[in-house]
Amino acid sequence: MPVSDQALLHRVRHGDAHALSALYDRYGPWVFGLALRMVQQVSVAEDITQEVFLRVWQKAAQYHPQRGSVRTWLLTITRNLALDWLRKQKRRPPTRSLEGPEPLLPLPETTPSPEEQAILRWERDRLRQALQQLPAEQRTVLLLAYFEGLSHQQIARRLHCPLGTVKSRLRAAVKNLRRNLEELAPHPNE
Amino acid sequence: MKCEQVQAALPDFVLGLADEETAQAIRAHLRQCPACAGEYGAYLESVHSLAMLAPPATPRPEIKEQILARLPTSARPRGGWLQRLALGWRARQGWAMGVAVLLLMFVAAATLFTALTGRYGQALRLVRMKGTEHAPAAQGLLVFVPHQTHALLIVSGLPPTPPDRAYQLWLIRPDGQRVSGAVFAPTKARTWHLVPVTAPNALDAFPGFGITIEPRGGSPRPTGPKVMGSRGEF
Repeated sequence: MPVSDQALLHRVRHGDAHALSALYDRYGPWVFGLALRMVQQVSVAEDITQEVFLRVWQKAAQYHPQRGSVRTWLLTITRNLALDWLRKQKRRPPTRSLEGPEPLLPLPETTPSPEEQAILRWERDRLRQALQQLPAEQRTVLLLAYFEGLSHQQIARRLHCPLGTVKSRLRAAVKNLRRNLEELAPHPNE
Repeated sequence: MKCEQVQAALPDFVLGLADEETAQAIRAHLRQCPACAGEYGAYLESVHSLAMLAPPATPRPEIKEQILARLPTSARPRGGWLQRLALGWRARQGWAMGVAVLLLMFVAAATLFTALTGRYGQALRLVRMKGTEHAPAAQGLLVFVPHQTHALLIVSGLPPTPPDRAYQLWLIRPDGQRVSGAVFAPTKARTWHLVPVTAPNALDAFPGFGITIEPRGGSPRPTGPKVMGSRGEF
């Protein structure tokens, strides 16, 4: 039975480098994948990945289970660091379609176990269904905000849309995504 | 802020789009309201499920090594007494061991420096350098003779840089302008490194020093994260 994420984090809190190493093995590829998708430079994504796990080491005591899973916490740190970098660069990555099921960059993926692959496949399908249930305009603003870190104003300019419209679409998108995910059938293991 | 207002603002907040004043008010509220903290957690989970659209990708194995190398010395695998002595100044055994290592390094630095410069009997200046959050395990000493333009940097705890990056030492003028003093790129995770430093004018004219990560070959000015800074004279 693998050690739970929270048990690993508890050990990290007490200075266990092996536990940090195990967390890295489990989530390093997700952290690196998200960073790479956002900044689109391998060396920057690597720097961000390092920084994420060093912050986990330094701030493990600040994690609250009530505020989400360990994976979500890691991805929150990742996204925030990527956003910081994007803002410093003061440039936007090229617009890409974010709706296709295929990876945007031809990078080797990790090779999870068959059980992990089944769970991943289920989670991705659930996400795609939840996104497809959103109106197209909500989906667009949500993906622009999440992956490209655009502000309301930047999205409004990109889409030639009033600012107020973007704000209300984005709020609705987040609420509806949450509702859709919650309504879709939970995984049998949950 | 009331719960109703916080929950209405959570979608913007989880995306990092709330203004700073609102964000601070939300954070303060979440610290004391379990119900809203639960709502926040639920929104975070659903928003970050979007990360699934970015497939996982395997970083180079060196990345993991570099992370582990940047952990505090006491967290790393322990070896024999000689290895522990070489691992850094603040050994777990206490300040006595740390001071002993420091004295050894000071004697080595003084010997090397006088050998390099031929200046015997002159008072050495030692500037202590410490790692930032980007390199918490890093420690260093900048050693020079007043009114001279050459120095020696002794640094430990800095991990090897990627092939396209190097560390760059900056000499900070009183007006804040940074001048490059050295560029170095450790390729092995050795315990410590000796780096020759050259300044355009006397080193005691620079009140501060810092080390950043820059493109291989160096930059005309700092562009990367700061990994070490000076902490006053030793």
